[in-house]
Amino acid sequence: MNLFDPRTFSTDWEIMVMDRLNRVVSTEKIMGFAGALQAEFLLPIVVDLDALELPLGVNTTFPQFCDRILRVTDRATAIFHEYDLDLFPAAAHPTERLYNSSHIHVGTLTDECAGLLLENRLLRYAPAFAALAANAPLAAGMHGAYKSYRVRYQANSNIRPNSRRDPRFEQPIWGLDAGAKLFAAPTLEVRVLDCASSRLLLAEMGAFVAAFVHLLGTQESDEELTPDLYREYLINRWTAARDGLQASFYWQGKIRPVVDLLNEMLDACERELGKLEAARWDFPLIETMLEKRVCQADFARALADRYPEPQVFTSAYAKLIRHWDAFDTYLEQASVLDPLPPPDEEAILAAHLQAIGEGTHFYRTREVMSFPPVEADAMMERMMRDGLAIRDVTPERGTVLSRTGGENG
Amino acid sequence: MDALLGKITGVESLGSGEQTGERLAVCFTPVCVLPAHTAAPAWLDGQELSVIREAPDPREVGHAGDSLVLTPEESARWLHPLQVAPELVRGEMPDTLHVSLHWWKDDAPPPLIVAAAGRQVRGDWRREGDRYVADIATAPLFDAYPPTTAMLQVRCGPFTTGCAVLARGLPTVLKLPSPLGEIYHLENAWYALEIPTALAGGGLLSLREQAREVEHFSPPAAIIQAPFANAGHADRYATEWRPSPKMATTAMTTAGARQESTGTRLFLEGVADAEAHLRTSLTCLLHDHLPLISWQRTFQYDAAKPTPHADAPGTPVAMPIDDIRTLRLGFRTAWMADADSRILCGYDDHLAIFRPALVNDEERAKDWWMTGGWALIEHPSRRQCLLYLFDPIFPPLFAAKREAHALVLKPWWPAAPARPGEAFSLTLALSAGELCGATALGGAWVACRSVGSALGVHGAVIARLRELSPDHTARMTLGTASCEVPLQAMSLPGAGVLHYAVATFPEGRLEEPFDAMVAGMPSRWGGTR
Repeated sequence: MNLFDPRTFSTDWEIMVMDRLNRVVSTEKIMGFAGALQAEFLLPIVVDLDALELPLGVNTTFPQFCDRILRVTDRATAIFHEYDLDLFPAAAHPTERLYNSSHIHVGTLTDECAGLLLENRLLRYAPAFAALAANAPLAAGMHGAYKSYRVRYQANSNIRPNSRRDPRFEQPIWGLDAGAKLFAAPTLEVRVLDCASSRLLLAEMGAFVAAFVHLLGTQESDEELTPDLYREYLINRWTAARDGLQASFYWQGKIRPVVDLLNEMLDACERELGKLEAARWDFPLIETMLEKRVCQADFARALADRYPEPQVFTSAYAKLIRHWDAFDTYLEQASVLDPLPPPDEEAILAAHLQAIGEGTHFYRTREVMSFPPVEADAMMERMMRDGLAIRDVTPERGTVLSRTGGENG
Repeated sequence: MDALLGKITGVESLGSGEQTGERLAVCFTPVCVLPAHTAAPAWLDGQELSVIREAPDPREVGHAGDSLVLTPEESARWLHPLQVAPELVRGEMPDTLHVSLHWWKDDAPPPLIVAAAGRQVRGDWRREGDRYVADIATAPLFDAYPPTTAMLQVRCGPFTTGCAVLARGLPTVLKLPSPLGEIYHLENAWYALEIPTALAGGGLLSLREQAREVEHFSPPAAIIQAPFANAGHADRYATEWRPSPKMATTAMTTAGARQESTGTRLFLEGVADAEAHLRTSLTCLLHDHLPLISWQRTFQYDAAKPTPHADAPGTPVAMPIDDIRTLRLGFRTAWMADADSRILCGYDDHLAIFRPALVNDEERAKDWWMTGGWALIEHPSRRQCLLYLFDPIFPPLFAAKREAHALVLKPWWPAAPARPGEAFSLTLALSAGELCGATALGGAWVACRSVGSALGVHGAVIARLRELSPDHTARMTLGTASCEVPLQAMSLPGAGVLHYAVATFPEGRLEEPFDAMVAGMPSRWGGTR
């Protein structure tokens, strides 16, 4: 079996642009620059919400992908610099509700049914990619609790957890962690990755994700996506957002550090990497990140610790990451971080409870880990049963929850 | 809080930093003031300034040509260099004003003048570290008996500040200079209010409870933020989906400020949108005998004027709908959020409570209206509460949000089509205090204290009661003394009927614990000190 033939990959890299008054440049202003880059490189460079979007064409090798990334970003930097503008490759704006990604497109997929079934096998690995790419520890005024607020808050509904897919009943869906996107392109799109601040890291992650998806595309499997496995995926997804590369996942009932999982994934797709003219030793950044359990979010957090005022931080952050190797430099000197345990059932309950104040719409707590209704209802019933929250239902507001004790009046 | 954004002209290494990495002297020219990106003050034109930064990676500071965002603390010496202490005094005229100048471009600072009551006094600067200081005796400004209310203006070159002297506990209205432009200061025994005229169409920027000396609208410190973003009440209007951004910068002129028998009334008027011929006015009444603020905001479209050349060939035919606009009124009030800050409101037989747990959590009601005619905002851990009253017959839709630093109440009244010449009003009453109560069937109340002009303490409650309430008394206790007072009804045009009661404790002291029960509704936290 070989679902992806010929083997290709690419990225849609969403990058904000900042002016010298610390403002994000609007979509309308960026359109002209996108057009100029489009004409120069004959690549479908466009705009997204207040961001430049760099789709980097159809790539068949890692060196080609690297070369495109370097040439396009060098040129984009130069063009914007003429107007006193800088690229701001952050996955989230620290104070505004703007999230950005480096989607990875994996081609060439033409069998939609097989692609949908592949999603069911791929989704459990999506949290590992999220942990590797975590780069949004400050977002929309929030900070401190997650290494990727983008994944936690689903990027304003632009990345949502996958559901189990059945080609007999599907309609096209857009915006999943990883989804066959044949209605738009002959690819499977992995959207869960936060925008990369390092262009070399993006190159490495792009090839890695593509090779691993290509690998899964060669494997027949009868493995059913059970409710337990699906629950593991959702918990791991939340854990990846919270802990980045320090995360430990539930993996078929066992606990596994995500760095171990990623190491195994890299080894497993060695042959597929080879077909993209890449090898594991071409990924020094990923290797160091796994060794130290340090991700881009740790770099941003270290900076934020020294700049507690959000706009001052944004200015320093933007000036730093317009240098594409700022994270690379930080990573060299970063200390090793400890692994963190996964959330046990009490911690999972606590995370759901934390989203409840008083008069909180019940969907706020469901959105914590996006448990499906059966699991989410069971979680809510447990809260009621244990006296941790009370439920009120009115025709106008529906179901609202209120925590008991603590800050309640 | 505002802050400077500058353009870096040079970065010089000063060696290793004390905390981390490299210590850098960053030279810059001021470009604008955040968060509004308005022009830097004229006194900074052409000036090159510098700050010290430490960074493990100097690239985070940047290089010549890059922007530099300063913190409010770093910016203060350049944006607000002239300071006076005290800034506001209640009671006696201070003998001495202590003035400091934290920056001047030349070696010698400009002359220092203090003016009041038609007289001027010059001050002598002396150097103290990196600033200049002066002590000015106030006696030469007045005859033997200085006035009980006075504004002492302090001027130094382009800078102006002042010291306001107010009679303790007496109704007063005064215009104060401030970095936000002119501010109207109204106060009496219950509250002190500050309403800026240069922005937000005149919003309520400060609401101070006099007895406890508590500020209800304190913004978070050390954060760059627009006025009203995290504390204060600002009215809003919308002509399409989003609130109009023009209200934030709408400046008002004073149409009058006067003291009446029942309170102090301030009138402001301005142009909300010149292009749309939309004017706005504000009437604020600070009641003297109760802890109560009446607030009426009006928007009016100018009458239609004949369109020039309307009959010219090729001009499209106009229909009545062409002159119609949409107008929707609301307000946005923000308070610094504690973990236990919450909003309560009554509708039908329900008591709705909104205490969001997560930043950016929001409630925007579609199907339920604040038919109780009230909203109560409480912060139990800091013993503060504020009751909004509006007409139950014409209630708004509830909307509130937990933002990064603030809990925000932002209800909207339904939109209406607006013809030229039509006016629309929003009428509110506000009462802030230290105790509150609310039930689904009873209504809501707030209690506040003031210090009597003679001895003793006054306690007062303001309540919105449902007609179903059988108990129409207020019980207040101060220490061991207890008072039961019948609630009296008062009609506030546009805000409905409220109930109130005032109790006097002749022997009472503010330090004693205070509690209240109104119409059978206990306080949500009692025994406050």
